[in-house]
Amino acid sequence: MNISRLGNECLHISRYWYPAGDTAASILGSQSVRWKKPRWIPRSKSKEFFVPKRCKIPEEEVIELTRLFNKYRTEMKSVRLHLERENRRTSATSELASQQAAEEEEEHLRLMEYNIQENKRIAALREKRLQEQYETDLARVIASKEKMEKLELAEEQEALRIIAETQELVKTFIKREDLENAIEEAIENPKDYNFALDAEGQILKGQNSLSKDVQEDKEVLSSRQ
Amino acid sequence: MPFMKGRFPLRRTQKYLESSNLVLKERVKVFTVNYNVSGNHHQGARDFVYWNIPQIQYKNPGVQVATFKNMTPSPFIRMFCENGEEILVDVDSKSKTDICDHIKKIICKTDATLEQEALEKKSLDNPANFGWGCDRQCICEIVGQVPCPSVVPLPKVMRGKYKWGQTFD
Repeated sequence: MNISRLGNECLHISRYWYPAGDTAASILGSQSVRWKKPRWIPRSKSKEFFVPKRCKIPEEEVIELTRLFNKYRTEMKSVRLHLERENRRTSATSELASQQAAEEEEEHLRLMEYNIQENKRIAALREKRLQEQYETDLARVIASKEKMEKLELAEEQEALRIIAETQELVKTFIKREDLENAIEEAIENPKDYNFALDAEGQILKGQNSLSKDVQEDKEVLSSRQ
Repeated sequence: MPFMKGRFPLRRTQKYLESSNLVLKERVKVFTVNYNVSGNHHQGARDFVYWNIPQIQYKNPGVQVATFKNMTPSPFIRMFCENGEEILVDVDSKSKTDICDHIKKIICKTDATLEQEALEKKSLDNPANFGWGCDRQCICEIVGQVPCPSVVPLPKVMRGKYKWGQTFD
């Protein structure tokens, strides 16, 4: 584990070790050859006829080395062949793998079939829902139309009533020719709007009339009758 | 520690993302959800997108996950596979759990497969290894082994220059 302390404050422990050279791009610390003899310059006089000595390995050592080499090569070969066989057995083109692939495909097809069936079921439910929604909408629209028609009818009736009333009122209007007569009439017959009500609802016309004075023609408020 | 920002930031926690078992099969390359923001029959799809899409993307980093809003009268999920196959899943009026179960059934790796894969992965990174990409770089770091010769010189018995002497022939 690579432990680095930063200012005695925190302890950072990095889990994996990667050499610095692998993360950095440059190769630091490489040395270059200072002098190499050019290839067109022949070998120096002292070295041109140099024959390297063939080293003599003792026989016992040769036997031992051969034994060790054979042992090593056998082991490596056995490992290599074993791995090759394993690879052939489990590779992507082998029988086992193709069998597995075929099984997976079959499973996938089966699941897709199941999915299609499920989709159909959901589609049926959706159709039902949409149908119900359509019916409720239709009912709502018809009801609202009826309501609107009723309202329109009522409004028409109201309008007609108002027209009739107004027509009645129009008859009471003062015409321009009768204006002077109407004014004269108004001046001669002043209308007194002052009236009082007593406890029994009797209307007492005039500003100063008392209930005990009015004996005949008792006018009672219409709501009390 | 303050509260996490956003609505239901639980969806962003590692624990929540890891807890899902919706690992899609390798054949699926694109996972698409079409839904509306209003409408009762889209509620399940909306919930699925809100709660489970982060989990799916976390578990399948190589899959393109996309959502489309307000383009369809009825919600659906569409998956595109390597060989061009399209898998269409109708999710009209389905609840979030129903959608999850259905997706898990038809196109996800089974729990048994996931367990096997986890086991294989564990056996591959043996914590006892040392070297490049492992916990320890060299055997000298391990307690009980010979310490690093750069720090503590080896005894002369183990050094070649003392065993065989200086030979120049």
